[in-house]
Amino acid sequence: MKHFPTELAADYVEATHGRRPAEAQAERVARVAASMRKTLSVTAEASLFDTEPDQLQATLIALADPEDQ
Amino acid sequence: MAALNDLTLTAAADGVASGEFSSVDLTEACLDAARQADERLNCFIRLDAEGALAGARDADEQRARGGPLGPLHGVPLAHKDMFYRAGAVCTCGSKIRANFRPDVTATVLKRLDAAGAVTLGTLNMAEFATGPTGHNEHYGACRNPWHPDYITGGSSSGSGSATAARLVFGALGSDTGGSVRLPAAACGLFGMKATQTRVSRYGCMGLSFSLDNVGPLARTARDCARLLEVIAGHDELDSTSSRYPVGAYEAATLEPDIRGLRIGIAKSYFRDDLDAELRSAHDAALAVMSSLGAEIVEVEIPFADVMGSLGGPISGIEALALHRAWMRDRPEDYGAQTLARHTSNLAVPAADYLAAVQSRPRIVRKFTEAVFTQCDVLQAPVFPFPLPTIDETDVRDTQGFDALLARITRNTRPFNFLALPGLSVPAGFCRNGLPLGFQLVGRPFSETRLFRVGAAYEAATDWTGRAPKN
Repeated sequence: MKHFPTELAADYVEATHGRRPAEAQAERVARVAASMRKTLSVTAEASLFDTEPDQLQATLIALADPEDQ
Repeated sequence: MAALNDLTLTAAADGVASGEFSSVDLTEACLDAARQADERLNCFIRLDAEGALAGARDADEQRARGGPLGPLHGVPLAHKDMFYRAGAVCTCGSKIRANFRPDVTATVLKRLDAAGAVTLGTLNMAEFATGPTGHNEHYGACRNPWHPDYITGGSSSGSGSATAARLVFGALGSDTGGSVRLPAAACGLFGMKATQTRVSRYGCMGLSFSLDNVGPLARTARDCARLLEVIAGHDELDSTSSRYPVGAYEAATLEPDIRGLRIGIAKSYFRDDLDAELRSAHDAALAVMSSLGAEIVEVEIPFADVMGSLGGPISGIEALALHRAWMRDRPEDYGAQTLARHTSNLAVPAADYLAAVQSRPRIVRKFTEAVFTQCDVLQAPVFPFPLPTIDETDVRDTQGFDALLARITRNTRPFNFLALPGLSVPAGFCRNGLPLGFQLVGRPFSETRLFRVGAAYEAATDWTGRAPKN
């Protein structure tokens, strides 16, 4: 979604947060919502089943160079 | 003779250990400097003279008894006001936690205590570590000792300002998107964001539990290395802390040799749109490293087109998870910048967050394998433009805030998502008289190598020998 309507963003914040944001705030929310679409399309380029959050520690150790110590 | 507070951290520790001067002498020198400077710089949230002098007297008595001396014995430090000490107020730079007294002590503080450090007080910071400039609506903007009209960088603003102004010998900060490296660069200091998992976060205010790092700021590479060596390593109280062996960081700064090392500069992203004055300064820094025997190589950067946005869904959602109850119940107690930033994160879908978290190890692996086969250490600017003034960046919740945030942190936040270590290195001064810095980035757990390169560059230049005028 390239554009996320400001009014929809305001409705969304009100529904999820219990407070209706000011117009400037709703515009920011809408902008962030639109930009997130781009991020998702890139980071989900491949299967999400090949990694898990718990693997970060193991990945970092596997990539370390013992000569750095 | 130079004032005691002008000494390096390691020289101060050596002086106390040898009996050349006492910890009380050191502490009084720092307290005097802090009292003189703090009205101008606003770097302390709480200056605890009584507690600091009591700690210094204890340190001197312990030495007199012939007790074992730690590597920081009797040395005054102060830290960003977000590291918990049981029973002591920890504001986190906020109104919401103005009277918060935690019932635990952060592991990093316990390790500094065990090494003999004296605590001078707590330091100013961006509210809840949410801001890269040093603004704080509750405690006032922290000011740069090189020129008080200019920003310190943030969010560890007080850590940068107080250490550069010689009010303390070093300080801890936290780095979720650049908050150690930015104030280090802005204030002319070394600042280390170590490999994610390298330093315990137990007892530290959280912002983003996937991206938060605790790191030291200090005036020399050796000082910074000593501080990291004290705080690094596995902690049973923090299951995310790594068991990977801690390196001999300080030893790496002694007689550093970088001959044959490949220093990479990015073909894309990190030097895109780099200010011309900074480009010249960074090229000069690379020439220094080349003269020391390093090989400068151009490096292809994977994921360059999305480098800036990789961590956004993670830091945004994790911060929101911590803050949304206060946002709902006490919105009036937040500063405008902080509330605006967290409110925007309400729009980030859970699927985006999970996609970013799950893809992280894969992207870390691809980036590391691609970049660190072409070079041993990547060099990149910290700030991509000369430091702005406090007034120029006082954008609060206006439309300019997102753009400002993105511009300031564009070169630092990618390495939080990538979990890689980054050492901010002082690299001279801009025409406006304010410092500039570059960061050295390496493979996971390559902090030893980064300190070696930083120390070699430091030894070949005279930047860290300069002090801001009082």
